[in-house]
Amino acid sequence: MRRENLVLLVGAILLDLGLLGLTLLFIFLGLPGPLVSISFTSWVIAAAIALGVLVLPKFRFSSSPASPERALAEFAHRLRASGYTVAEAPGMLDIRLGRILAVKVSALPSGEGSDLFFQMSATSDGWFVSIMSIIWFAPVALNGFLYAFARVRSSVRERIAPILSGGAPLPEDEIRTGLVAGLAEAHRLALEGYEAERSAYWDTAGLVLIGAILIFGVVLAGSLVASSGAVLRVRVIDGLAQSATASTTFGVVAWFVVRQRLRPRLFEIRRWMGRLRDAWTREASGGTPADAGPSVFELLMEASREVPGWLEARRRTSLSRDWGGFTVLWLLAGGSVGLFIQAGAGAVLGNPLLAVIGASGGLGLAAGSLWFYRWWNRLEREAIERTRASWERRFQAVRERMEQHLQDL
Amino acid sequence: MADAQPPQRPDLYIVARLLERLWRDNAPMLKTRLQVAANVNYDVFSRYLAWMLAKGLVSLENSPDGHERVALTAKGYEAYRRLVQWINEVVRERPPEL
Repeated sequence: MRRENLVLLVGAILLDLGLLGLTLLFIFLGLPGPLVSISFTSWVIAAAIALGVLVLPKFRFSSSPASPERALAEFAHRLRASGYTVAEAPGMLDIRLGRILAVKVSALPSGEGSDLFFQMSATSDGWFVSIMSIIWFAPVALNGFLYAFARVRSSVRERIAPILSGGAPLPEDEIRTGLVAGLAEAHRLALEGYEAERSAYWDTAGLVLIGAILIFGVVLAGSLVASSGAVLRVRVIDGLAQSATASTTFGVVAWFVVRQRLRPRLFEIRRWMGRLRDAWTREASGGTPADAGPSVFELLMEASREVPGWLEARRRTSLSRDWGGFTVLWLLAGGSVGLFIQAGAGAVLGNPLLAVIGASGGLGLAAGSLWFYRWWNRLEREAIERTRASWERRFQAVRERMEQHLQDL
Repeated sequence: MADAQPPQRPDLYIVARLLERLWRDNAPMLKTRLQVAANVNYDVFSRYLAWMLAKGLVSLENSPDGHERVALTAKGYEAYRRLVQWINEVVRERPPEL
């Protein structure tokens, strides 16, 4: 084990022991509940601070004789030629290390050349897991972040840095460089689109599950209220049977519809990813496609027609993480459900005023949430249409320019 | 072959396919081999070859075995490089350098 990793491990153990000791001390001292809960909260705070401390700083790991822009451009090409998925942003490369982890590489001028720095980062799945684990499993998250940092650092030193320092020189052939870059980038867009579609797929599965649970509860409550049998046990068993049947039927039908609607799109993007990955690997290794197959140029032209769909998927996912919109929708829909429950309670307790207020308020909020959702959805669709139209115009313009270029030769 | 009528408006994909094949082989190719590799019929191949010869994108070379071979010229290389550069910029969401 490397010395730095040992220091991280000892640090993690000391931190864990400290926080555990604090929690146990509060419990054994018989301190009031709020103080004990504060000690539990300290795990969450410690995990959030650990994430910030590990993600924000930049660590120097290499240098290059080239200027920062040139160094990053060359590094991006070498990484793509080695099969890494790289996103380029001004002054920064975002390199995927796996499904969860990523690393950002930046360059700063130093003398005649530049110094290269890395920052721990994550894929969209990785950030989601990080935030969820801070909220629900803070002790695990705390240790997980330290482990992730050790993994990222060792990947940078053992896998990434050698590509920069000892990698093959950049090919003289600009066509090869361009094809590798185009294929790698198209594959990255397809991969991100696929991840977004998959996320939407499982989000919808979650909604189906929540819907089935709600139906179970509503049918059970309705059955108990409506039934007039004398034996409570029989009423409960009947109610459970009816609610289980209703929720299972809903779950199975809704899940079937969701699968039928969303899975073909997932398979299609996966097929594109496979085609692009194959071509990318072959191009990076200097291989030649089989005779009578389409050219890589054609593949890129076809793929570029698919790009708007992949970008849309990414955009939909980012909108589904639009916390402001979600909060409004959640408040409206949650308030509506709460008022309907209040109406039900009023009906059961024989309080018609409470029932009427609850039902009318619930209906109002339900209508409001439906209106808000439709408005929100329309904005999203319009934005997607604009993106699609703009992409199509751009594609056509480039195609016409290509054809004109051939005519003018 | 010499009588083949060049296309009025050449198909971008076919031109790119032929240029890419020649670029990949990095050496003059037998006509039949190029035709098979580009997956076009003889008539289409003849017309596009005539067009590319007229534009100076390719040249014909006689080889010692008596077969004519098609070679990519510097102009042909540059033409394909431009096409790759443009599609690359479209895919990479960058404004194409037109």
